[in-house]
Amino acid sequence: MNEVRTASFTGPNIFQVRLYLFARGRFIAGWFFGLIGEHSLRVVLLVATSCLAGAENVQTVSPLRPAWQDAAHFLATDANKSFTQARSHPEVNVGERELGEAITLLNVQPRTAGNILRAREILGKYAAEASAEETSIFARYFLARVYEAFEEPAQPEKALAIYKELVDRYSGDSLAEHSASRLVFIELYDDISSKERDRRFAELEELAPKLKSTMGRRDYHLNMGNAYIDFGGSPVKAIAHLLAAETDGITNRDVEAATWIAIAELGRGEGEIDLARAYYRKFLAKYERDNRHYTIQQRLEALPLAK
Amino acid sequence: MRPKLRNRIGFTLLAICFLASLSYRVRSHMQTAESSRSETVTIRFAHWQLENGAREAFEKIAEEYTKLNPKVMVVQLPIPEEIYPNWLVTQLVGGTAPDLIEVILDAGVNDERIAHFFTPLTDLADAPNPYNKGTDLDGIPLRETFFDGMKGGYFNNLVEYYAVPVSCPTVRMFFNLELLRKITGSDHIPDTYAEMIRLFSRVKEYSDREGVRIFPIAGAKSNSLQLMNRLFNGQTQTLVENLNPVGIINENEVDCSVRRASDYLAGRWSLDSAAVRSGFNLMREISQQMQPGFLRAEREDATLLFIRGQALIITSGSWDATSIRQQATFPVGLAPLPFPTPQDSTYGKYTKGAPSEAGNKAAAIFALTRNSAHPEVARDFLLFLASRSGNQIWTDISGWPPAIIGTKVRKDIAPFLPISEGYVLGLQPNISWMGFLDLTSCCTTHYHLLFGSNGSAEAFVQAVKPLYGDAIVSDLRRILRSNQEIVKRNDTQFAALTWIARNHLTADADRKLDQFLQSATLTDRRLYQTRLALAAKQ
Repeated sequence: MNEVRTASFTGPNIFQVRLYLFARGRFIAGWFFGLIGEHSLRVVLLVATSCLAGAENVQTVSPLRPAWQDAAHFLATDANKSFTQARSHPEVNVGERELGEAITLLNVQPRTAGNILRAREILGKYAAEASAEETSIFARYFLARVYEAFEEPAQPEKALAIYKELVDRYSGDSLAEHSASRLVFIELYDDISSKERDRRFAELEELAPKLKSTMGRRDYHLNMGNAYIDFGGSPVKAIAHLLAAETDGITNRDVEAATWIAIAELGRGEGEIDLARAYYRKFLAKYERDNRHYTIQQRLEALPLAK
Repeated sequence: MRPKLRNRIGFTLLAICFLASLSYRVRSHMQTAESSRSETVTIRFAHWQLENGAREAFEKIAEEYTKLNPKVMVVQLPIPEEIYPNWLVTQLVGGTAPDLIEVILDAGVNDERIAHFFTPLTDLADAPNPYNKGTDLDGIPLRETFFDGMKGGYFNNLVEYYAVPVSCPTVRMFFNLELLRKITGSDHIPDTYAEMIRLFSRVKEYSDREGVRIFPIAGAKSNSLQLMNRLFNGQTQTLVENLNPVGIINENEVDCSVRRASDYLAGRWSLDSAAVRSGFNLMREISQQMQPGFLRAEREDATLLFIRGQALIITSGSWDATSIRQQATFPVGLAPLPFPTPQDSTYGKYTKGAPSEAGNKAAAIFALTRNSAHPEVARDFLLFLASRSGNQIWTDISGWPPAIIGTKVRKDIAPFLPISEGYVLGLQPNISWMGFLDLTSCCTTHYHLLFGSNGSAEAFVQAVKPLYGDAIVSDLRRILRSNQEIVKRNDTQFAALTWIARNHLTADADRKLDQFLQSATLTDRRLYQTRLALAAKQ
């Protein structure tokens, strides 16, 4: 991502080992006597882990890592408890903890208006913090998501304004640039006239030069290309977007297979026989075990011979 | 007897009982201690494959594993299919689940439960399988050793491999060859749909002539609709190809079901479309070859009809092959489902041909529970199960087709290998089995008008047509709600993956975020397409 920090691990000193053993002892005691709960145990272990990591590593390996990992595995309620209970932990960064609490509150079950409001407040607070750019981008993006998807009724105009600002101001940041994909969905998959959609397509085309991160740019091109297909738009533009997405690197097999077929079919329709042939061949070579393989083989054979 | 004496006897008995109990506890404790001293580890795995051959195959695999790892004992827990989903959830929630579990998706197990109760196996999938040493799979990542690239064990939304599959199942027609010979004078299985229809007429002639009641096909509620939906699917291949923009082909009907539903609402196809009518006619034709009341019959009832020689054909999966062969007193022949080809004079106009099975996912997937006392040993057993030699034992004894590349297949299992030459399927009468519950209910409650003795495609369509559009709208609303929920849930995951990647909290953070984004984009697109389809209808 944007900033590279290298963690260098050093061996624990005798004090750290003692602290670790003490924490482990608490763990075993807690396990047997049920004196302390599961989440308190996590905090105890977090302390032990951070102490063991060595003084210079405390800044690089966050003690909240297990909580983030839980959140990344759909375990929002567990993660939220860990973030909340780490409130009194002296080593924990307050901003990180509060943002973790906010994003997990969105999916603590049952989902309540109170939780969504609390999440919005936290995200709003950090979104306004201009001094910490990366944190602010993170908070702004998910604040926009709250307006778009979690609030009832939704406030799409507020979300759109934030997404546009993120794309305009934070070129090169992959999360900020992911807003471009959201703009494509919100603006184009709307119940509007063809004329209005064409106007929006043209407006969205202007985002392309601003996008500098590979992930943000790839997803924007992928969604633009597919939108042109979905709404019967310009095949030439669709091909250009899909090729651009491919250049930035599609790593998901399902997405890659579908994109290659789309490029080949659009190419065939536009008389770009060499392009169609190249992408049919790429698909056939890589996706032998795909239900479309036989059909694509036939389509390749049916292409006119190269001059 | 004096009270004092009675008390003495009572206390003596109590003391004896106490001593006996104490001695039992001490002995039991000593045995446990002995077992721990000898470091024998027991791994338990649960599954619901009670078909003949499967349990024996698992037993042999466990035995071979113990030969290689003498300090490990592997115990299988076969659980009946009917209670498996409830049993599974109870064990997981109660914290008493065995080390390894065969997972049934949607039946009690969803992404949240997978994440909560199971351990990711991505590192296992990315590394070579040590049990493949010395074979041509030596040094190849585990996932690349599966026919399906281990897709069957990959959970898109979780961006992790969580399970290891053992077999690539397919569905075939099983023929009673003895009966076929009696009816036709030969054991030649029809190659084309037209030939199959002629055979059905000969079965009826034979049945009338001999005065015995024989049905061409033994049907049950599960396999009959499976067969007829596939045939309907074949009739709508060209329709779907023409509905798709610029020649795009989706790999399966689930991928494009929302688009097909919105196409219906936009009037781009209807129940009066010639291909759709042809599909219903074909379904009716096949339904007339099954015993009366087949839609209410259980799978076991249909199997019994076939085993008793009262039906010439049964449609079933590779999982049933060994059971059917062991129970049948006659030789059994196998053939793919009979798809009309474009050359067929009645049903050729709208079809592309038989479907491709190249993309079939491997199934019977085993996942490692988080509460396993010996996760490393359980992972090692999974590697043996997924090795060339483990899969060879599996396929040899169970009679199921293998999941691992290069596993040798017996002559009688070969007909179950996926057929790669073929086309992508079209629509189902209910558009897709995934998500279209009201539409499915709308069709099934009227199937008597299609399959009944006085039924017809016309009668069915006339009854269903006024309800079909509303059912689609209702299903799309449900799909929209479901996708909205998935997208909301994804936000916490996306935020966490982003934070982890930005702060380098784990080594593979960037890869996971990258995979997640591409997968989430597919869900987003489906959500917006659904919302637009509903907005256009209002």
